[in-house]
Parts: sequence; structure tokens; C-alpha cells
Amino acid sequence: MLKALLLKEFVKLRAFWIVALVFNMCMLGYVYITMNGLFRLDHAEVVWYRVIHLGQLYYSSLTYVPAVTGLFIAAVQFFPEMRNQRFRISLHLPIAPHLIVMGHVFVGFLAVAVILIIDLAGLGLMTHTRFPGEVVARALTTAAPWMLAGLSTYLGATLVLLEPTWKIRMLNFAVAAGMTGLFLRGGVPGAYGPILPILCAALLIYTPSVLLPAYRFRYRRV
Amino acid sequence: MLLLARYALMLTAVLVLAVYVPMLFDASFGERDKKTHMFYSPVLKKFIWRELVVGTPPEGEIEDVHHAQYVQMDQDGNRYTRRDFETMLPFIYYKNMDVWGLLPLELEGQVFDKEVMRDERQVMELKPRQIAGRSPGDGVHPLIESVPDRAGLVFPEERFRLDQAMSFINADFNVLDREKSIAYTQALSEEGFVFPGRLVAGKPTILKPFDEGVFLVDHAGAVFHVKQVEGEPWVVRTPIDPAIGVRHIKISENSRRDFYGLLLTNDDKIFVISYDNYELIPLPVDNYDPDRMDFKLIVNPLYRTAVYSDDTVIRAVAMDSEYTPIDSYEHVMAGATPTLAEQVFSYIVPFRVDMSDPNTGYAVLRVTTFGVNSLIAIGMALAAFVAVALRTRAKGRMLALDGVLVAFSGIYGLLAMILAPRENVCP
Repeated sequence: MLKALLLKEFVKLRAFWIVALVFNMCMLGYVYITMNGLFRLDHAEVVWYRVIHLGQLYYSSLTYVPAVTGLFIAAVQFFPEMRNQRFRISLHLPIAPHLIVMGHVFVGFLAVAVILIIDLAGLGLMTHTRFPGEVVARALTTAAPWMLAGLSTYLGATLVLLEPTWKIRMLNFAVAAGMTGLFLRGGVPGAYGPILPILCAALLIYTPSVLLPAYRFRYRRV
Repeated sequence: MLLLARYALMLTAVLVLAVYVPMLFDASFGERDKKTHMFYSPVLKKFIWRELVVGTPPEGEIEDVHHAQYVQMDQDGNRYTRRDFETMLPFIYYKNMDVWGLLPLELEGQVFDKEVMRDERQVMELKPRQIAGRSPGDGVHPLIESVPDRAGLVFPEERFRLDQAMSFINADFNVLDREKSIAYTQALSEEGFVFPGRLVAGKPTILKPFDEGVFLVDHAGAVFHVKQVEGEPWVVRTPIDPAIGVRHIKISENSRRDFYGLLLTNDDKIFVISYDNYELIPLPVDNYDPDRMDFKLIVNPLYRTAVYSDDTVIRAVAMDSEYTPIDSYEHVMAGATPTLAEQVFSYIVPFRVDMSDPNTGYAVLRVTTFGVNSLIAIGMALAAFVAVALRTRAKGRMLALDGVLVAFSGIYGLLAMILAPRENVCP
């Protein structure tokens, strides 16, 4: 039954996932053009100086792309479920509600994660064509928290969309926005490096919280 | 499972609150520059400083309305107007002195005009975040041509990394420049450099009067001075003792050509690297902790002053031009005293989580507690929790767990409970 549920989510998200992927690819293309533009406008050594020493981010337009992607996938996944309370039918299937919710979240989370991994790989590869390995590593460290922000946004949007009452939905929104904000505090390029494992752990602790609104919805705790 | 979901959300809420509530507090009640600026006045032969006035200043203390939040005073408690303060520091405020028609100036039998003052001053700073390993590093460094065939310095087309070799990477093609890498690696090896290298120190900019290349520390701790002179490697193994344990070197080219820069050791000693055969001149700074303290060396034609401070205490040592200490002073900064708002805040929240730290370039998740005040904050939150529990006659395992959460997170835990009320959670 769980397998059928995962398949249903896969079929439901497939087309939207491709839309999200195309959007991300377009943004990567834009970053590639920006990066090459730097080298057309200035000598390569000056571009290196600006990127390596002054911390110029030619990929800053990627900052909020993962968050938008996470929000989009959560919206297309759970908006239809919450319309006319359709999700209630799924939640009455003869398997534990937490498995149903986590099954849904697993598919959505994976959908977002795959796109973000492609983003990181794209950024790494394009940086590799113009810069030494040190810059590639630093670009990936800089962009990694943005990717985590994408996953955090997905979870946060799910938390908000599944919640049946407006009051708690607003409070959940505040927590979700605050949590995503932790990954987007800026700083010098590569600053997040040492705390990435801690932030991953925080994200892991955050994940089961999406069960709470689902339970409240299932048992009509409104 | 439900319990897990509820506490997952509440713990997340506690983290989010502990980061953003203090951030909001700082944005609302944060003060301006809290650090005291201390100098040794060559006119008074005393230490003199400028600092933020905390609280309400005494009657008649503030004369200069434009800078009403600051007070200028010396170690004997005398207070100065802003202009008088600046005339006590003629080598720092020499441009103002010139505007006021007070130059040339005679001090200790010597006459100083504007040009001498400008040419003979130098300031070098070393902040904790600038020390190697305390911020994300550049990784690849330029080696600027020290004898360029033109008026200004020019960026080289290559940058180098120092690991098992000194490898130059060409920026135009992003490929290794084999010839140059071999030439420099060989030149270093001939001078006894032990690869892999440990530290690269230089000033990677062309906005400087001339270029002194880079200082490299090898695997054995020896310090090498490397330059590119007319396209060729120029390597000197300095006589600096490898056993000294170099932690960081900061180079800054200055037309005085008195010292190359500062050298910090693993046991927190700080030296200037003299132009006289790389002689290390120790700076007599007691209680200096490079991981927490901003350090500054101020040079003028008559004196050298080392000033270093953490968040609370500022210390200064005045030296003559031979770096022999002549006086020192220690002062608790007024800005270190918590403001009323900060005191009140410390009784409300049990701790704060900061994501940035001025002493490192890396992001952090640093938890700061407020000592006894934190316990009082937790006590008050627990009292509120118990009062509500008694009034609502709540009981059960979840109540006890909530109590534990409040005992650790105070008001943050209480607020998190609003997010996930016990009664709204199904059995």
C-alpha cells in the first residue's frame, strides 16, 4: 500500500518537478552567463582577485532559488490534498498515519533534494571551468546552506499547509520562516562551513514536526 | 510518534526564538561602537582615550554637542573637548592640526611638520578573525612582481597554492603553469624549504606603495621570504628560529621600511619583523589573548603604542622608538557595563544563540548564558508554567516533559508551548 502511495505522489509531482527543474536550470544558465561575463569585462587575474579575495559572488542570484523550489514543490504537493480535505481520505488508509504523512514528505523531500544536488553540481562544474579547486570548494560551501534552506522551506511550507487552524498556521509560518532564515544569514563566502553539520542535525530534528499538523487534521483537532 | 512530532516542533521553535529574540533586542536597544579608543599622548606623556558614555552623563560633562555620546579623558581623570583631545594626539590628527594652524609642532626638542608626521606614522592591526584558520581563507595567493617595469604594481596572471609544491595556476586558462611552479619549488627546496608548506602571508593587493612578496612557513616551522624579482624567484631563508612556533604573520608594506609586519606565535607572543635581517622584536604585551583581543600597534616619530582589548578591558603599552616599554595602562571600558535594557533582558531570557561572532569570520551557533540572571529567568518561566498547570489541573507525562523543556529553555519553551498546545494533541 505504501508503495502505491509513493507511486501516486511520484505521478502527481512528475510534471511539476520538471517545471521546477527547468526553472533551476535557467537560473544556473543565468549564473553561467554572469560568470563568463566577468571574464569578458575584466582581466582573468582581476576577476580572480575579486572573487577570491574580495568575496564577489557571481552566483548570488542562486541564493533564494532553492527556497522558491522547496516552496513550489510543497505547494503543488499539498494544496490539492488540502482542497476539500482530500488528504483525509489518504489518512484513513489502513496504514499508520505517520507512515502516510512521512511517505508523502519523503517523495517531496527527495524531489527537492535531487534538484538541489543538480544545482550544486552545476555550480561546482561551471566554477571548475574558470577557477582553481579552492574556489570550487568555497563556492559549494557557500551555496550548501542555501540548499538546506530549500529543504527547510519545503518542510516549513508542508507544516503550514497541513495545519487545519489559522491561528496555529500563522505560528507555524513564523517558526518555518525563522528556521529557513537561519540558513540565509549571509557572511563571508564559505562562512557556514563549520556549522553545516549542526544545521543538518537541526533540520533532521525539525523534520518529524510535520506530523503534528497532520495528526491534528486527521483527528479533527480544530 | 506524536510526542516526537510535538517536541520536534517545540525544539525547533526554541532554537528559532533563541536566535531571533536577542537579534530583535539588539536591533532595538543595541548601542553604537562600544569599544574605547586609547592612545598614548606624546604631548601629555599620559594615556588618553575616547569612549561611549553609558547611562546619563554627569552634569556639565559633555561639552561637544555634536558628539554628545562620547567622552574624552586621560588616565588622571581629566576630561577634554573633542578638539583638545585631538591636539593631544597631533600625530594622529595631523590634518586637523594643520587646518587649525598648529603645525609645525615642537615636541621634545624636535620640530614636526605635516609631511614628517604623515611619512613617519604607521598603524598595524591584528584582529582575531584575521588570524589564519579563524576565517575562510583565500587558498590561492598572488605573487606580485616586486620590481615592475612601470610606475604601479600589477596583478600577476597566476596565483599559487602551497602544499606539496609551490604551484602556480594561470588565471587566463585555469591551468597549472608547470615551468613557473618548478622554478619556485626548486628555488625554495634549494634554500631548505620542507614541503608541505604551512602558512602563506602577504598582502594580496596592488593598492600599496611597493611589494615585499610573501612570507612562507614550511613544514618544520622555518620562515622564508619569497619575492618575484624581474620574473625570477627570490628566496631568503630568514634567521627566525623554527622552534618559535609561528601561528600567523601579517605583512603590510609601509614606506617607513622599519618592519615587514607582525608575527604571532602559538604561545600568544607577538613580534614585529624588523627590516634589519628579519630580527624579531618582542612587543611587551601582558595578558594578550589573540583569539579574543583586537591588537593595534600605533607608530609615530617619538613613540610606539601597543593597544589591545577584549570586550571588557583595554590595555596599552607605550614604548620608545626602540620598543623599550616606558609606561602601561589598563582600563575597564565604559561600554562593557551592561545597559539597563541589557540587564532587564538578561532576567527575561535564559540564554541567547548568536550566529555571528566578531572574533571569527565563520558562522557560529554560540550559546551565551547570563549567569545567575539566567537561573532567575528560568525560575520565573517555571513559576509561570506551574501556575498555569495548577490552574488548568493539567497532569501526565507530557506535562512533565514540558516542565523539563521550560527548565532548560525558560521563556522560549513557554512560547513554544503556545505553538503546540498539549490539549490540542490527540491521545
